[in-house]
Amino acid sequence: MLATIQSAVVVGVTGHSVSVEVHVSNGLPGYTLVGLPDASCRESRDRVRAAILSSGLKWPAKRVTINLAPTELRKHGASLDLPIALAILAASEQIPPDSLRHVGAVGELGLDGSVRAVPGLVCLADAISSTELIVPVEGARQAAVVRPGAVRSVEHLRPLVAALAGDEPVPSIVEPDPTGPVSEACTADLRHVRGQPMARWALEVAAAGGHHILLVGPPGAGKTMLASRLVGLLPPLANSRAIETTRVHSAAGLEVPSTGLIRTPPFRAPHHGASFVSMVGGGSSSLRPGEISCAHGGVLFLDELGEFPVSVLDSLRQPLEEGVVRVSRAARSATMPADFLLVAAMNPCPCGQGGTGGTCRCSDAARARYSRRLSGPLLDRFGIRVEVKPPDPSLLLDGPNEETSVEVAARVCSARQKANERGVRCNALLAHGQLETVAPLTAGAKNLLRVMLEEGQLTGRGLRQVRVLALTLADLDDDREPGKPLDVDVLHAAVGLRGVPASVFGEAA
Amino acid sequence: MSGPLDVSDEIIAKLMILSLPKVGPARAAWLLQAGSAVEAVRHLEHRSLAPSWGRLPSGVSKTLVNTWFDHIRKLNSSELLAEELNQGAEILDDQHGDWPFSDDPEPPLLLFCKGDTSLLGRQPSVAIVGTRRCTAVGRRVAFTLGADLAEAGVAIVSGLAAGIDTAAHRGALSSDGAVIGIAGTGLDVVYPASNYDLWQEVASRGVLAAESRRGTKPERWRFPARNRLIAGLVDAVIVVESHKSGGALLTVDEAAERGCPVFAVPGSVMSPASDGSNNLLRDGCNVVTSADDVLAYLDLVSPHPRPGVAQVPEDESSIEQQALPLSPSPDLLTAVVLQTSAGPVHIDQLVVELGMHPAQLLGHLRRFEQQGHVSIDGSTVCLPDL
Repeated sequence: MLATIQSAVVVGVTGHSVSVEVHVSNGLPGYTLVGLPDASCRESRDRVRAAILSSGLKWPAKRVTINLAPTELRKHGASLDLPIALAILAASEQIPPDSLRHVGAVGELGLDGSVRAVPGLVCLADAISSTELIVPVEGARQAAVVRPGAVRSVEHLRPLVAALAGDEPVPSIVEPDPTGPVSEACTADLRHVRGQPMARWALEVAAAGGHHILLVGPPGAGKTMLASRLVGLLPPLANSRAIETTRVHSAAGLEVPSTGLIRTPPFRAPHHGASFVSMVGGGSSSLRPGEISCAHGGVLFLDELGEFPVSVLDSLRQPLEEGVVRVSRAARSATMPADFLLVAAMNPCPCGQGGTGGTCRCSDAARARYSRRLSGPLLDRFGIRVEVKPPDPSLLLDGPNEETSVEVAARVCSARQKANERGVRCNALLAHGQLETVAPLTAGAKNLLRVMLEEGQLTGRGLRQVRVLALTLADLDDDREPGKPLDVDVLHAAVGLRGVPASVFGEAA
Repeated sequence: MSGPLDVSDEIIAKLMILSLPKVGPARAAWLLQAGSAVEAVRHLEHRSLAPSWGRLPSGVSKTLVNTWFDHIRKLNSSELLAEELNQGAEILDDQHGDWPFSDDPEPPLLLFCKGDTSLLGRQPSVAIVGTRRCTAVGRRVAFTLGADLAEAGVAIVSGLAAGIDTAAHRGALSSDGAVIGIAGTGLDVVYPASNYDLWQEVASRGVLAAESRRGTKPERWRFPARNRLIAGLVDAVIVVESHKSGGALLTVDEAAERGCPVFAVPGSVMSPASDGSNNLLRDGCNVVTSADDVLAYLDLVSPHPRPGVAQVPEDESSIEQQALPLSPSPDLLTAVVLQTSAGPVHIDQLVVELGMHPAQLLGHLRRFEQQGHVSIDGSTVCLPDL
């Protein structure tokens, strides 16, 4: 007897449809799994056998041949356990073969027959075109968002078999819950950052305009504290982005909220020891998404930027520009979303004290070596660069209460609304051609920029960033009438937000 | 042993001595006790010790002397000489008319020069020295002093290092004065490499000098040795900024040994970059707040007397006169200048002190910077460099 069921495997953040074919025939009892399974997939044999037996069903004492089509795609992981089990049961006529015709399934089996969660469920669900989809309970709600009205979740093999045999009611359709919790209680509130008016403001601008931000300062100045606050200022993810982010997190095997999509922008802070592959994505044949993809829609925080391997830093340049990362290997390639807000923190020099005339103990050469780790093109991509100094001790001990994240987030939200009216999610995404119409300059402002360009204080990219930054500043200013040309003052402020101390990065920066 | 016509055997012998391994000014001076450099080389070539050398000085082992014996025979004197003289360099010794170290207790063996060697004997001359890790205020002071003194006809001597040295050289060059740069490395080893342009300019518009051969790398001990040359050249030494135990203080010690007066620029008590110079003042060294203080000592007349180097507005009216045509907010400018006059200030502090939103403040600050009232480095505001 032959039975077929639809399933899928994930590569990168994309599911690839796989059909599981099982043939049970007379002959010497045996089990053959073909169709390029990798080791983790081949192990399914023992799990499936135990699960079937534990569920009170019979393992066919016949020749069992399983084919995973298409055969040129390498299959990995345990997500094919459930479809293999179902197809074996159908081929051995323990459930009606017809019952699988419109059904797809994914899930890992436990030896007791329980159906376990699999990574990448959202991507898998997306790839299976059957009218009904059987998935593990965990992650079922996310799957239901991409396949509304098709997803049924099961906890155990036995009731599922009973339902397919018509003995028990079919598990009900899982309702998509696209709302979910809007934001989990954000413990890192901007209110706890005392002093630092400049850096607080810079965070607000970064959140409002989607500008990447670099914080430079001595140890203990509060860079990490500030950076972790940025995510709390971002508006919750819109539907399509929430799905993208959920897909990535699902494919990466990260915890996804039990209720539905990821609505809170993610905050990823990889350690500077992170390998190239763990940052960008890749690895086994599944091409797992890297940290930059996991930060999609949220914040990627690179603490101690100067300590990251140069290769890792330079790999960020293309994703920063395009919002996606293309991972290519000999066998497969995958395009994964990687649209994140980059926040980086670094010391001004190896000893950390830095700056001119301070208590820095570093030699000029050591300092030059340190700042050389940051390539000019990468540095250029930080729209905002702020020098953070430790706040006044009196402010730390009994300073006034500062603004909360919620208050700042409200301003960010209204600024982003203005960007939405221009047709982009945030100002940083404005196309070059759009700038002329949405952000006109006064004559004085034009003159100022001309002088800066002529004196070499601005590059072409810098010019665009300053204009966009100035537009964000104008958006944040509620008293300003919309559509008014950008004047000298706001441009000056924008240029001031791009300052890096020459003592750290040399005059050329 | 004979060289080109215009170079004496003595110079060639000294060159050979300098090219021996592990020979600096002190050991070279010891070798010269043989009577002359030619005599010393002759002894070394014959693998014999001159009687006048007496016992080997500490640190000079038998093995080292043997290395010298071996090394001196391998030297090709004409190649050595050609190497030094290419690219327009000159070699001065104590017979040369421009030799400035006739009365010096520790003169160099030779002086390798590029540029106008007649400047070396120029009177009066002043050294402006200080830390490499200077503040913006220090840089500004060094630049102004260099410019003003050079304009009054004083030759400016410094060590071509980063920070104060560079600012002093730049200042002197800006007023087309006499500039003397004493390098601690060989003339072809630009250190720090970022000062390449400055070296070129000093060589073409002033004079660049060093006591070490071409290719000599920057080694720690060479800089104190270089400082003694600076002290030996000048009529006065000005310390602009120095950390508690900075190299500039070594120049001061050398100057004191030679009876050369020392001036120091007072700095903020909050600035570690002024610890050393302030200590000098406590020990009774002369105060310098403008070029006039030094010119008065040198009995020179200031070309245009100035009230001070770091001009801090004393009252609001003066700043208004300065600022009104340019700035619509003189009160804010006064406040900012007063805040920054003691040294660099982070914008955060200005935000707190002035009670303004960073967005507005930054706009104003950038405009002040454009007008040249302040300078912004990263998020730090200070008085401008000149």
